[in-house]
Amino acid sequence: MTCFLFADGTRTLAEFRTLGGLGEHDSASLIALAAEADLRGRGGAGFPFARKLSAVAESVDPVRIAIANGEEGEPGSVKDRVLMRTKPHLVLDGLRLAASAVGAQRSIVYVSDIESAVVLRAVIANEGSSFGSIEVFEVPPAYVAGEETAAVRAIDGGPALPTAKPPRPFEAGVGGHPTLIANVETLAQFAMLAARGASEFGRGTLLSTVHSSTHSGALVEVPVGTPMREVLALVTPIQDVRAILTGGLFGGVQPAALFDVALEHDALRAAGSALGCAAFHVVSASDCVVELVTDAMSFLGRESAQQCGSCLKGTAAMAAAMRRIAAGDHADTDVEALGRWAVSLRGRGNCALLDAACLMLSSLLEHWRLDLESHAVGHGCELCRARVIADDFAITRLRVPPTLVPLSLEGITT
Amino acid sequence: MKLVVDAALCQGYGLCHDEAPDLLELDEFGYAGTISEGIVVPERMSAAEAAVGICPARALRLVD
Repeated sequence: MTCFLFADGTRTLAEFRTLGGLGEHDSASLIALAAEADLRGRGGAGFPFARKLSAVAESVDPVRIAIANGEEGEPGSVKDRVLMRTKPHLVLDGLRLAASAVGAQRSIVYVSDIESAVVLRAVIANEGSSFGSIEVFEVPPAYVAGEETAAVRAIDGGPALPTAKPPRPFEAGVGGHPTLIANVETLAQFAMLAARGASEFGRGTLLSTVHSSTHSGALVEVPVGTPMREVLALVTPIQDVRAILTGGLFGGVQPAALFDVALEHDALRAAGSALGCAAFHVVSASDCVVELVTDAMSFLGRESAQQCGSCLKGTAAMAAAMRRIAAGDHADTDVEALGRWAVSLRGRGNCALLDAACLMLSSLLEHWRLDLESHAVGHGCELCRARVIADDFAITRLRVPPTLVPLSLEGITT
Repeated sequence: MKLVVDAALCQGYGLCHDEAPDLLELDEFGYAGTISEGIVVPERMSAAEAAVGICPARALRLVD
């Protein structure tokens, strides 16, 4: 258990040094370590970290930059800011190692959380000699500001908005130079991997934010590959879970069949979802999935960078159709249009926001079509009808309570 | 070669689609996207170059 980021022994820089932190490693051995542990990015896409390191390390351009990305725009995730506020030395040591692995002359922590920035600056001021020269760059918070090309653009003096790929930052990033950009948790995991070695590290852990509308949320740390149900069960009785918004808003709205999937990128992708930043919103048995997705689509519409026509028009149209359906005031073509947009608008933006909106819709149509159609024809789903009835005192006591939509039996632990 | 659309630059003129309808498609709002990940076979290079050249917003480019 000594490998866990939040375990005892990592509380202070001195403790972490005793654990083996702040050691000296050459570039090749750092990249080999990341490859051996199959360390994946913790920001959302799960890209193999060793390949990112190699791409920058092997560049012909001698000027290189390393960025720790701590801009956590996902509304359902708190892991990055908690990590930066409470274990800043792990992030900074990870950045120091990554900069050393790629031969970067400049290291930057990119962050919007003010408290994190204060903590990081204090540690750099007090312990600067341990980490080398590290800058803290603050950016106004926004959903798309954490996208890697948005970070590069902001550091170069522009708006924190994504650009078209290619080039990726490892090819041409800050100032046009090859730039390694890695999520702060990835870097903290990398620091722990270097401190403890590959055999003890194994595949590392995941920081996961789990939140439910009826139970309090939690930030949990579990080994990579832990079944999803074990994480959900930490915040809510598993029989109360009707659906899960997975990967923040990036993995769609998924049914109980997903409970037994292991928390790792490949497994969730194979199941038609996404791990993203390992944030999960539990939709409880008394929550309406249609209302929740309407909320999510409205958020994505508001947070669109409004740069790409397909995203600007597409997310606005999706959110408007969902709002009409949720209110029972739909146009005849709304459900059909949602299905069409879910497929035709995929891959059409410069960042992944529009893809997240498409997956949200396709998962809603695949798993919750009855609820959607019931709303679309103006009846509301069974839960919404129950709520209307419960609000009407005169009828409530005479009426048999409607049956809740049952949780799939294979999703219940016996 | 690969055709790449910068979605933030595309203004939905649709002229690229006229030049290379097998390489580019328009969504229902009129904005361009590539077909088959933008891969251009050698015999369609001149059509791809024409699509790049005609875009008033300079939203298209060819990359290796």
